[in-house]
This record gives sequence, structure tokens and C-alpha cells, in this order.
Amino acid sequence: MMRERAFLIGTIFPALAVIGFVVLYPLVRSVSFSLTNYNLIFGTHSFDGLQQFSSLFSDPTFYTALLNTLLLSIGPMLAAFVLGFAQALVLNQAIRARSFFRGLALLPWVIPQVVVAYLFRFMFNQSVGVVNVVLKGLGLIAHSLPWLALPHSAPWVVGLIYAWNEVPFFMLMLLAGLQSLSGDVLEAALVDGATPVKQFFYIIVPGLRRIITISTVLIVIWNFNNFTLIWPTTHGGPVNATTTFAVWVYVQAFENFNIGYAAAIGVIWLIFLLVLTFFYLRAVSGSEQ
Amino acid sequence: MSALSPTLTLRRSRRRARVWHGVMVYALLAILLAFSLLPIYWLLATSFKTRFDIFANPGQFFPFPFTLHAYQQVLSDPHFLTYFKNSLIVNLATSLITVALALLAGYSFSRFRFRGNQALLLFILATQMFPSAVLLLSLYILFRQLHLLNTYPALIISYVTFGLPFSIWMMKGFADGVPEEIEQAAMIDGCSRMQALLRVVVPMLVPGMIAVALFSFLAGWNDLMWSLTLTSSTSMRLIPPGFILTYVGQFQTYWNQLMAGSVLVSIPTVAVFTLLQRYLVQGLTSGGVKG
Repeated sequence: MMRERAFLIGTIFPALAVIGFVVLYPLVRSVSFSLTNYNLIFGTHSFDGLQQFSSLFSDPTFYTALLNTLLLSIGPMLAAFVLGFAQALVLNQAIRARSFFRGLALLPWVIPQVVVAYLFRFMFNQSVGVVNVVLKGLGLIAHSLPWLALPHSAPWVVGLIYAWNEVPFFMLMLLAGLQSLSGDVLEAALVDGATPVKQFFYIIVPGLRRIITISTVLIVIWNFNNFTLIWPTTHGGPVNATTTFAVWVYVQAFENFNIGYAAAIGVIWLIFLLVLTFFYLRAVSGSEQ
Repeated sequence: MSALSPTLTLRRSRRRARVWHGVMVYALLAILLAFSLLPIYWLLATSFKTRFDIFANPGQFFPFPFTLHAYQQVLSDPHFLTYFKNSLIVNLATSLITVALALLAGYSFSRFRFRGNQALLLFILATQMFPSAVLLLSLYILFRQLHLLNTYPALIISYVTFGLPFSIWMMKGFADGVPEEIEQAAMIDGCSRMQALLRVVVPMLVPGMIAVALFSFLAGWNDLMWSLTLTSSTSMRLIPPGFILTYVGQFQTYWNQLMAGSVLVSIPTVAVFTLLQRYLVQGLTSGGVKG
């Protein structure tokens, strides 16, 4: 009995220790920084109460970053979900070399995100980008546009990059879900004369509800935290048009060295994520029973 | 001409419907895959172009003249090779450590029921969702005080936490699939639990360990923010920050070299993934699909 307990502690403790050191300790410390005027340039580090939060709520960038974070977390997720579901439905048909096509479809997710960011930055470049060439060829634009330098188009391009990158994740999860649905039920529905559309909405979607919840919430959380796809493409610009919490915290902490302020942004960001995480955990644990 | 018999007409129209269905499926597949694959084609095509063609003819579809010049340039750049080596060292170490930690913890979570075990599991998963820039803020200051900036250990211990929470869940899922009688038999034969785990259970968990290794490798290989912040010297830099700081100049960008470098740094992840994708799919969906 003692031995079993020692084994249990000895096996779980190392993992918990690493998580405690790299996740819990810094989390607590960052929250405490948010109550100070800690600044690596001015050398200040003293208790400041809720001063950082009151400057934060009167900072227009805060509302811009909040809106950008929400839009960029949810919009691309919806687009990627639709496309990924379509890919999964097609790949679930009786086609030859399915695993080969599935492998191809996974490529946008497998190549490193920094590569994805530069690839799109290149394709949307004003002077050498292929997007301008194609759109001019189709007569949709008269002359080449600097897509990533215009406040109206940059968020759309960044959103497209997110969506393109995460379509394969939805495809993968939903295809696995489709393959686990019982074929009998689908066939019975067909025999009963259900149209494919009815079959989709009354059998497939309800059957995949749990996997849909988990994968959409997971993608929203990942988008909420994403830095790698935005930083190399726009640096949060032009004029904060693509500044999200992740970019803003990075800029405040590691370019302005305004640690207290960055921590205050982080605390607000964390509250949003905790709400999302709650829904995610409920979906994950609800199914265990 | 006599009319065709009704059964033959029916069979024909059915076959025609099936053929149509097949054509539709492959047409849809082609359209949907084009969205995913055209940018990747463009990445490859550009890497084989000359710098002149990229500027003079930005719409050129096939690289002509076809040249490996960009690859030669990238591969003869000592910095690139340093970044590649650093990324490999850090991510391989991360993978190994994550597999070891996740194996032990995942096994115990699978075999023991103790007070709060479900809550602890959910809590571990929740840590995966915390905003990493917020954690990095404090860790940067801590690593600076400990003189661990520009070292492998700082990067490795950080990267381990990227994949560890999810990996513990994956390993628990795989361990749940191994019948408990197997290690009980070994323990009756005189093995300790640890010996039973290592000799009897581990061989059956190989697919799970591969899935975890792959997942944690990909998570670390993808990181930009941590490596950008925790390293500043050229000799310790990893690939993602190396990309930003090498090929993208203020006035001109070497697109063909950037794309050739992109292809080269994608090879490890694509290769590993292609060889082992079924394990990762199994791992990622083990928690998500069942239930």
C-alpha cells in the first residue's frame, strides 16, 4: 500500500513539478506584477494598486485589441470549420487512395506556422505577390494593392491565414468522428427515405456534437493565443488594425519593457480564456461519463 | 427499335447515378484540396525560381529557368545550419522528456483512483489554455535572474509544457486500452510495479509514445515567441526567429531563399508526420471521439 502510494507520487510529481514551474509560478507572478508599476526601462517596481487597470480601461488600444482578438478568434474558426467539414465529408466517401489525399489535405497544418506566415506575406506582397497578379488578370482590381499595409484589408488577410492553417485540424477531427459513426443508422435513414441534407442535420451533426464542441472551442482558444501567424505578417499593424492581446502583451513587455502594464493586459486576457476553458473542460468531461 | 426492358433501364440509370456521384466526389475533392494546396505549390515553385524572375514576372506559374540556386545559398549559410541544429537539439530533447513525463503520469492516472484525480486531470488540461505571453513575461524575468537566457535548458523546459498536459491525456487514453491483468500477472511473478510498467506495459504503449513524441515535437518546432524572447545570440537562435532576422531585410527580401529555407524547415515535420500520422490521429482523437 505504501509502495503503491510512493509509486503514484513518484510518477505524477515530475510532470506536476514542470507544469508548476513553467505555468503556475509565472502565472501567479504575472498577476502580482499587474498590481505594480514594474518597468525595466525606468527601473520602477513598487506597488501601484489597480492603477494599471484604470489606465488600461481608458486606453483606446485596449478596446481595439479586444475586438480584434474576438473577431480573429471566431471568424476564421467558422470559415475553417465549414471547409474542414466539407473536406471530411468528401474524404469519408468511398474514394481511392484516401490516406494519400488526407495526407495532402493536412499539409497546411503540418508546415511550421512561421513558414505559413511568410508564404502569405509573399503572396499578398504589393510588388511581387501572386494575389495581385491574379486579381488584376480577372479585372477585379485596377492596380496592385499593399494588402497587409491597409487597415481595411490586413485583418481579412490575417483571418484568411488563420483559417487556411486550421482547416486540416477540423478535417482530421471530423473525419475521425464520421468514421466512428455507426453505418447502420445512416443506412436505416437512407432506407427510410431521408435526403442527404436531412441525414446530415438529423444524424451526422448530432452524432458529432461532442467532437464539434471540442474542436471549435480548442481552435478559438488557440486563435486567442496565436502570435506566430500575426507577428511576422503585420506586427499587429497597420496602426493596430491586427493587434490582438497576444501581440499587444508582447509589444508592451518586450519592446516597451512596461512589465506592469503588460501583466494587467494579461490578467484581462486570462479572464476571457478561463471562460473559454470552462466550456472546453465541460465538453471534455461531460463525455467521460 | 424495341424499348429497353425496365430492369435494364433501371440498372443503367443507377449505374449512371453512381458514375455521376463519383465524378462529383472527385470534383469536390479537387476544389477543396486546391484551396489547401495552391499556396503550398506556390511555396515550392518559388523556391526553384531565380530572384530575377520573382521580380520581373510575379505571376510565373512554372519555375523557368528551374534552379536550385536558392537551396545552395541557404545550405551554405552557416547561420541557417546553426539555427537548424539548435532547433533539432531543443525539440528532440523536448520530445524525449515529454514522453517520459507523460508516460509515467498518464499510466498512474489510468491505474489509480485517488481523491481529486478527475479534478487534477482537468486542471492539467486547463494549463494548456493559459495565455503563453503572460507566462513568458514572468519566466523571462526569472530566467534573466538565473542567467538562463540563451541556454538550451530554458527553452527545453518551456517547450515541455507546451505539449505535456495534452500528452498526459493522450497517454492515459492509451494506457486505459491496455488490460490491467497483464501487469498484474507480471507483478505476481515478482516484478515491482515499475518493472512491470517498463517491461510489460511500455511495449504496448509504443503507439501512444510515438503520438506524444510527435505532438510535442510539432508544438515546439512551431514556436516563435518564446525562442524570440529567450534567445538573443546568433549561436543559440532557433529557426523561427532566425527566419525573421535573416531573410527579411528592411529594403529587400530574398523571397526565393526564404521559400527554399521554408521548404527545408518543413521537411522534418512533414516527413515525421507522413510516416507516423496514424499514431497522431489515434492520439488526438482518442479523447475527442469516444464517449
